[in-house]
Amino acid sequence: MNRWAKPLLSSQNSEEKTGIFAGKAELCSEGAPAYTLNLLTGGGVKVRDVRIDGDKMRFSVTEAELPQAEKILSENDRVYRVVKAGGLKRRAKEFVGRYALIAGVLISCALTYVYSTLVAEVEIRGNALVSEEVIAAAVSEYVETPRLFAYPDLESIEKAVLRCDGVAYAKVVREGKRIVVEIVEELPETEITDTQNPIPVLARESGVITRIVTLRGTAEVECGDTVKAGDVLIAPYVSAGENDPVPVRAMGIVEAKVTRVEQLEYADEETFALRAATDIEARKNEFCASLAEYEIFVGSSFNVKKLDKSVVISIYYEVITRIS
Amino acid sequence: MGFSVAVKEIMLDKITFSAGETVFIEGHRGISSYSPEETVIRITGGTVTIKGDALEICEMNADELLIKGRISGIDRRKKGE
Repeated sequence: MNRWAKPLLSSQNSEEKTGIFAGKAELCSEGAPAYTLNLLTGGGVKVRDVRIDGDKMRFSVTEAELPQAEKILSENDRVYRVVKAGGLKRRAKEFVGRYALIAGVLISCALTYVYSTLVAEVEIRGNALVSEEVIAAAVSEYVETPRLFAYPDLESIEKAVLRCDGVAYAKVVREGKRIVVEIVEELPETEITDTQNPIPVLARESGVITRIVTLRGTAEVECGDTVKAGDVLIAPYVSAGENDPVPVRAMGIVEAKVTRVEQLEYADEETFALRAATDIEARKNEFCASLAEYEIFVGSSFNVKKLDKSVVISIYYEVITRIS
Repeated sequence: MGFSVAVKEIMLDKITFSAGETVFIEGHRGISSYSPEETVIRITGGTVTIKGDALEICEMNADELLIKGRISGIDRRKKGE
């Protein structure tokens, strides 16, 4: 072999990989370049493309020798960094990693968008009297749950909920994958009892008092008294010792024996009502024959009035009823 | 001083100098100093100083060293000189 024709180092060595398979790693070190180079070459590492870049030295080593080079530099406390690592395997990893990252970001964005369109449930707040099923039924006319790519019309849902009985105010908002319906119910009617205006308890009918219970005010009658319709039964004041009477709205329960009259026009099959304690009993046709001859029936219970071709019977009966 | 020959191999023991652009040294003992203007290499029995401009070490291992650049001079000195 011609000594003079020896090839330059190993750059043209066929045993080494070239091109994209070269697998070179570029490093950058600080400190004395000669010392660093002697360390690496003395440790069996082949360096290439050495050049000075400012106060730093850049050089390349094969990817296979990169771990050895890093070990030598670390053990000798040399400040260095790997600028670029080559090789098909690494390039492939970078390529896949870079585009895989981009693809991953795009997929994440797509999934986030799809998830944001999801409507999974409806939450109803503020209902105590109105049932949840009524509200849910109103909402379900505009959106089904769960559903992807759902864009419900919140205003329409609000109007539908307002149409429900008992709802005075409604607000519909979307919180993530949930539709929240907040309602304010109508207030129930309250009975206002006026207890201050001085109003007496008057008799609705005439009768004889059988029972009186004064709840508010002062009683003006007692059991056994005969009253007429319109008489004051309970006065609208309360005596407070030596002070002036306090005006109140009178209230109480008063029962009396009331005489009532029932008038019936005679007919063949008329039903007659007879006087009896508190009930009216019916007896049929007993007096029909005699009345048909227009005879006047005299009795304490009946008052018969003679008419041309009919008879009117007035029947008086008593009942005990409330007259206040 | 510059080298003007097209191709001139100076065989100084194990030093090969080509066309004023590359120097190939075999059997070196390491580098004493390195800069783009001057590089001093230790060899058996002395040192070799390569002067020039934009000097770069193309390849280097424990035995062989290839330097390229605009080489203006090579100075070999024995130990003790």
